[in-house]
Formats: sequence, structure tokens, C-alpha cells
Amino acid sequence: MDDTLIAECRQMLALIQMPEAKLLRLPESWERYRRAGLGREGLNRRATFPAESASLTHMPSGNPALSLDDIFISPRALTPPPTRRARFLSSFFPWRRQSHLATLNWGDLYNETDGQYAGAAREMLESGQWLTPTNDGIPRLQKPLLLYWAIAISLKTFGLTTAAARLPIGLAIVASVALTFLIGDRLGGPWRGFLAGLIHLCSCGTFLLGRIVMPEPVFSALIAGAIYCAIRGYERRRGRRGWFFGFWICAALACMTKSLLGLVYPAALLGLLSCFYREARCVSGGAAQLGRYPDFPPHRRALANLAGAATSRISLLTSRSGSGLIHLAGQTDASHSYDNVSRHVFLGAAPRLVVSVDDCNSSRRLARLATRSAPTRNRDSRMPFRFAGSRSCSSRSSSSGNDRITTR
Amino acid sequence: MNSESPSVDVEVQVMFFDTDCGGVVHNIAYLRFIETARTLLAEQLGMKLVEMAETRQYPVVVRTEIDYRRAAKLGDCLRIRGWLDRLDRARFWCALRDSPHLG
Repeated sequence: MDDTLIAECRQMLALIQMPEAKLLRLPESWERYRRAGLGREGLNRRATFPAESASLTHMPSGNPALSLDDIFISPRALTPPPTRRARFLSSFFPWRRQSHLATLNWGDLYNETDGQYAGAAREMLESGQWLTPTNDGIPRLQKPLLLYWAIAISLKTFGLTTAAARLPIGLAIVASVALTFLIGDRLGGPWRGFLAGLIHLCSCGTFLLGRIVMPEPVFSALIAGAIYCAIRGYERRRGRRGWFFGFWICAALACMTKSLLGLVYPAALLGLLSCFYREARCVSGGAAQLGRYPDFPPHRRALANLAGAATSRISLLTSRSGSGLIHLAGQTDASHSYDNVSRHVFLGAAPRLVVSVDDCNSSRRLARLATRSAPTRNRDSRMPFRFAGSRSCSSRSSSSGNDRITTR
Repeated sequence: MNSESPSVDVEVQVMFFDTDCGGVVHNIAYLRFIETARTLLAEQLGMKLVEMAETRQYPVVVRTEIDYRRAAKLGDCLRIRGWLDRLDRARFWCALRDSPHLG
């Protein structure tokens, strides 16, 4: 480190064309600098100033200048005109309308899953029992309630039709395509976002699985929403609390659609991010704030409607994983006959069995245990996890924060 | 920095208007020094001020990171060394260092 150094600075610049503020590519003539080794890594990696061995890549905070933040979610050089995003989004609409919304009433509900969800929603509507979905009067507790509610509301609004049963799924596909675009737009610009949305929209799985009444399309839309909110929260300090709040809302709704997977997927993604990102690692304890996460009272109340905790555990066990084990043992009943499916397909049931036994209680216990070691660092620059616990930690957190997550 | 990368050295003397009531260079003044060096660096890169005004293509600063290590004082002669640090397709980074001019 040079003791005489007074200040060191690094500035990012972009080339624009005025007055429309159009972002330009750098001149072709600059290619020679790139060829000379001046690529994305920067010269600082091997700076050769004689008396200045301290490279700018290592700022006093210890963060590398070329952080994941720089290459992954660095801010836009210039914010594109607001109409551009609207144009891209609206360009999806005719395709989505034709491929998903206009075809909602094509064909009857045709498979087991369709009937189970739509039938349970219909019974929910008829019985007025909004907390315990039933099929032929038998409680159906494999999945949380959000999808049943959505289908039931749709059935109530538009009548008992197949299109009404599929409408929440169609809307979820529309939302997930839009969110895919927005995520891509944030990470790589509008054209990449457009291509990402287009690929998602045109993929075979989106079309086929998006026509089955099941929670996955809604779940994926909510996970996409959570990711989008997390990215927006990362990008700017302004409105960060709101975006992180949105992250949790989406994760909560995803949990109400497909149980704790709504937390597992965002946590896995952000955990992956923390592998590369120092600040994220510093707040790994923040994940423990899951223990303070609202635990979906309606769903739990529905479970409590059964006769006692033991019954609910047995129900979870049999409905989630037991069916797979029963198939594995070759003891399926007539209504669940999969004779033409190889038994090894159901081998995945064994680990699920372990996970599903009393999953709610054990996960909360673990989360509370981990909460004890939650860090008390700068709150604003935290992972979305942090936001969930910010209320509890506010008394011991400082309110200062960087505009970006990176500490330099 | 390798020999082919554009760089610039600028000498600046600290004037009264660069200092604050503490007698040291105000933090914003460093950015002005840096801007001078960066503008000269841009000329080396083919972006002369007059040409930019004609073509209406301007480099705009979208992010600044600066670490203040020591205070410069009134009358100090500073050397600002700047170089092109990193290139993307649409963005580039300039690195600049202020140090006392010892020559």
C-alpha cells in the first residue's frame, strides 16, 4: 500500500447519444484495448504501477471490485424510457391470450389432478367450508389453500365451467411470462428479457402443464415474483423495504400454494448467491428469521380441523408420501392405479417421507434455533431474509446503509 | 496497466477554492481533479470535447467509487493518474489515483 496515496477512485461510464439519451456501444476502435487484455476483468488484476502495488481491486473493505454485484445486478447505465418496457410487455399479450387464455375452455377437465383440484374447489364453494377442502367429503390436505380459493372464486364469478376452473392457471402463466420478462429486463436488458419471456411462453411445458389445474403454474409465478422483488430490492436502496416486503408476500403466497417449497426455492436461490457474495454470507443467519415468518394460519387451522395433531400427521404422511410408498409396495387401490408405471418412479417417496413428517413444526423449531445467532449488522443492505426479521432486530441494528449492497 | 492501455497524468495545485474551513481539500474537489484527468483521458480515447459537442455523443458517469486515504492541503501539488480500467460492450471504467507530486 502506498502511504502517500491521497485518494483513489473508480468511475463507471457509459456512452450515450443525446438528446434521446440512447445508450451506445463503445467505439469499434476500442477493440484494440480489449485485445490488449482490457476485458471485463480490468487492468487492476495485474496493475503494474511501480510504487503502487495496492490494486484498486482490493478496497479497504476487502471486497473485490469485480463483485457479483457488478456483473449480475449492476444498475442500468441509463434507465430506458418507460414506454419501452410497456411495449415489450404488451407485445406478449396477443400470444398469451391466444395460447393460454383463449383456449381455456378447450376440452373438459381430463385427468385426475384436474378433477381433484377443481372438484375440491367446487365442494368448497357449495359447502362454504373455506378452510378445509374436501373431495367427496373427504378432507384433502395435500396442498395449502390458495389454489382452491382462487379456483372457487373463479367458479363463483364465472360459473361452473372448465374455463373458470382453468382461469387461475391461465392468469398465473400470463403473470409468470410477464415476470420472466421483467427479471430478464432487470438483469440483462429489455431484449434479453423479451427473449426470456418468449422462450418461457413458447415452451412446450408451459403450454401443456399450464392447461392442467394444479398448483405448479401459480407457484412458479409467485416464485418469479419473489425473485423479481428480491432483484429490485438489491438494486436500489430506495424502496428496498417495500420490495423485500413484496418478496416475503410472494414467498408466503407460494407457501400457501405449495407448502414450504415456497420458502425452499427462494432460499436455495439466495443461498446460491451467498456462495459468491460476501455480504450475503454475512447475513446467512438472517435466514433464521424464517422462524418469525407468518405460518399461514388458515392452512394450520385447516389441519387443526382434523381430530388432533396425530391425525393430521398421519394425514400428511399418507397423503404426501404415503401414496408413493404404497405404489412402491404395489398396493394401490383402484382409484390410484398406476399399473402401467414402473415402481422405481415412486422411489423418490422415501426421502419425501422423512421430510414431510411433522415438517411444519420441525422447520419452525430449526428456524428459531438459528435465530439466536442472527447477526446485527446494517439492516438496509440485507438479504430479503433480513427484512422479515427487521422488526425484531430494529432495536439492535444501525440504520445506516449503503445505496448498494456492496460495501466498498 | 499494460503499455497499450490509455493513461494520463495530470498535475494540479491545490487552490484556496479547493479547500474547506478545515484547511484541507474538500472531498468534492477531488472529484473535480478527477474529472479533469478523466476528460483528458477521454481525449486520448478519441472523444475530444469539441467532437463530442458536434456528434452529441457523451460519456456519462453512472457510478463513482472513491476512497479518501489522506488529506491534501492548500498549496500541495497533486498528480492525478488515470487509466482505462475495464471495458464492456456499453460501459467502461476509469481508475484514477491522486498522489502528491514528488517531482
